[in-house]
Amino acid sequence: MLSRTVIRPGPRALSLSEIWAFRELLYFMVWRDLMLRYKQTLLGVLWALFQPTSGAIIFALVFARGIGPVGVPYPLFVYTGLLLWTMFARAVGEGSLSLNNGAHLIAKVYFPRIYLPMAVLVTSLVDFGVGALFLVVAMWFFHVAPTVAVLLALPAVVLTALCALGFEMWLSALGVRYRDVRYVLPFFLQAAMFLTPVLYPARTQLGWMASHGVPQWLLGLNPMVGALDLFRAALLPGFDVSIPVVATSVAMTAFLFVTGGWYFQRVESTLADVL
Amino acid sequence: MVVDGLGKRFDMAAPRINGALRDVIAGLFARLAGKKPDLDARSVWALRDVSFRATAGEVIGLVGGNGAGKSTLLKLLARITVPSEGQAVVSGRLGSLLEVGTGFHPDLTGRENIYLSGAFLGMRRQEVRRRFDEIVEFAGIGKFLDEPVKRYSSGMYVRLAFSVGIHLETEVLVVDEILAVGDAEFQRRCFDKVRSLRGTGGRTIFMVTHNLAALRQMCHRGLLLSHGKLLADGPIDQIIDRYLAQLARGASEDAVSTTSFDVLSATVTARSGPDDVIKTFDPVCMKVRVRARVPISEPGIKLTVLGADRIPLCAIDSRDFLKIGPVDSGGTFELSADIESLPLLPGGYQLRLALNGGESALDEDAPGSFAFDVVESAVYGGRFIDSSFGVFGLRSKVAVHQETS
Repeated sequence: MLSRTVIRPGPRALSLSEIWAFRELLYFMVWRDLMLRYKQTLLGVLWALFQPTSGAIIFALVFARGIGPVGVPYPLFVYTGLLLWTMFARAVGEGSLSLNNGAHLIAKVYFPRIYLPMAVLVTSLVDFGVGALFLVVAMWFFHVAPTVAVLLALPAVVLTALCALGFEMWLSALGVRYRDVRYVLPFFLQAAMFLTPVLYPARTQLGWMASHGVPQWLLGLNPMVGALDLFRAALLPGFDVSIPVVATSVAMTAFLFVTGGWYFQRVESTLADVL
Repeated sequence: MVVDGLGKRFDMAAPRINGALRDVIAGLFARLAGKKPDLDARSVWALRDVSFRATAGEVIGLVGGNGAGKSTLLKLLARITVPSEGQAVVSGRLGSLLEVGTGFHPDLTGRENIYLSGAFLGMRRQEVRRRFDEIVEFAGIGKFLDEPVKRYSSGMYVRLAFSVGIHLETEVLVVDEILAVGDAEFQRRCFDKVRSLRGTGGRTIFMVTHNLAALRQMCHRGLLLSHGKLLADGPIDQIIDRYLAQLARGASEDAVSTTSFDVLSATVTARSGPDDVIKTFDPVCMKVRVRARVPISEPGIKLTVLGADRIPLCAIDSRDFLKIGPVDSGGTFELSADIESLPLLPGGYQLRLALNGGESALDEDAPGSFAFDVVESAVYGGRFIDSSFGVFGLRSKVAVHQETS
């Protein structure tokens, strides 16, 4: 392999071929994180199930009555929401600190830094996969059969992943400069969960908006609304996709992803100097 | 590899490292109030105008004191930081580890860590697998391969880390740790391994270590850096000699200062006969006069005698003998150590000083050293001795009992 590397001032140009060349690093970073969790904990891989299921049980006990009928058994409804939300929140929560946490690596070895937040995302996708297996069990238990709409789950997951990576790129790069990110983030994520239709159906908000003459698509500015909308339409009977909402969410995600990538790349080359 | 006018500037006035949003807001108000941030005044060139060429297969030692720019140069070549000016063109793949063992995780096994390190260097699994047996064999970790590396002894850990570093495609290698922890046998194998890579094409290896003797053995070329400038480029022996000469010159200055203390004088004198003539086994007195620049509650002074290539030979620390009371900023004191018999054989030596201060992280070496000579004398009574006798003299009674055959 004959190549030339030029080291010169200024931010590095985005090199997809270089990111591709290091692809096995992503695999090993994810493998390392999973391996460590598996080795160090008693329940190992079952921890992936813990957060969404325990959340679903608690919320089912506390909120089910207040929220009223949602068309499907509430535990199942809330589990679908939490499954996707947990993936998003875990990726954003841990991914945003990934550059700070990887400071020792950044100072000692060169590799495309994007792999630090990306590995967190892929790890949370694996957790999502485990949780999805449990979802199958839950659907069987509640006698909810999937239809052909289940194919919509794939774009829902892709949308969530891109949105999470967009946030990760922004926040991890900002977190290097401003320690505030570390402290604000848990609060932000918790507040965001209640503002996003995770525990309650989007209909609640959409209905209110319709009665006050507010256009529906505005709700999609929160990109996770569109992702959840798709995800529930994929799995639960009686849930439809709201096209304006999803379209807005897709646009928002694209915006976050592109600007996040731009900012991350701008900061990337100075990381070792400021960390 | 062609390096052309490479330079790196650090801006001290840039937003503080890991600063908080609060500072930025405070800065905004300061600017609104008409205070302009003073950018240029507080920027520091860690490296400037460094140019050289290197061909594949060279093993190059970087020589220079602390802050000379050695690690900045390595970080630039390793692409860990970006230069402020100039450029470097490297043909071939550039993989680099600034420290052996980077990326190792204590809870993963030796086997797992080898693959992980490879991935950090951008290597594929097949490439690592091809080198795997060699790595394990060289590290000599045998049955510990599938144990988590946290259970390794520090020697084993470093052996594995170095082995990974030297066998995988790393261009930049720092070998300080290996020389500090590895045993003599392993060090010899490291030297052999590095020398075997010399001139074989493929990679250019840069080495940094305070162990100058090791550099002489492993490298064939040296770069002398001082205050961010490339002073000399040439055969390693010449470069190291020049560095040592530079250090000796620094020592002849009257006062040597660090941020926390000034060394006013440091002397080694003979207690019998003319005091500037020191002979092996003479009683001598080491005297240091120090002025503190900051208040120090419990100062301690360590005197280290350095031999050729600045290898530490022996040392004493005042804290093992007595307690020096608190010293105010500007306070001066003199410490003297009487040595009953100086065991050093004839040759040139240096005294290195380090000041420690009880509570704080104060621990500083004075730059340069204070040179003294042990003159040629009839150490063991008779003939003059040469360097084959080593550095220490042994006070001995030698007897013989002859048995009749």
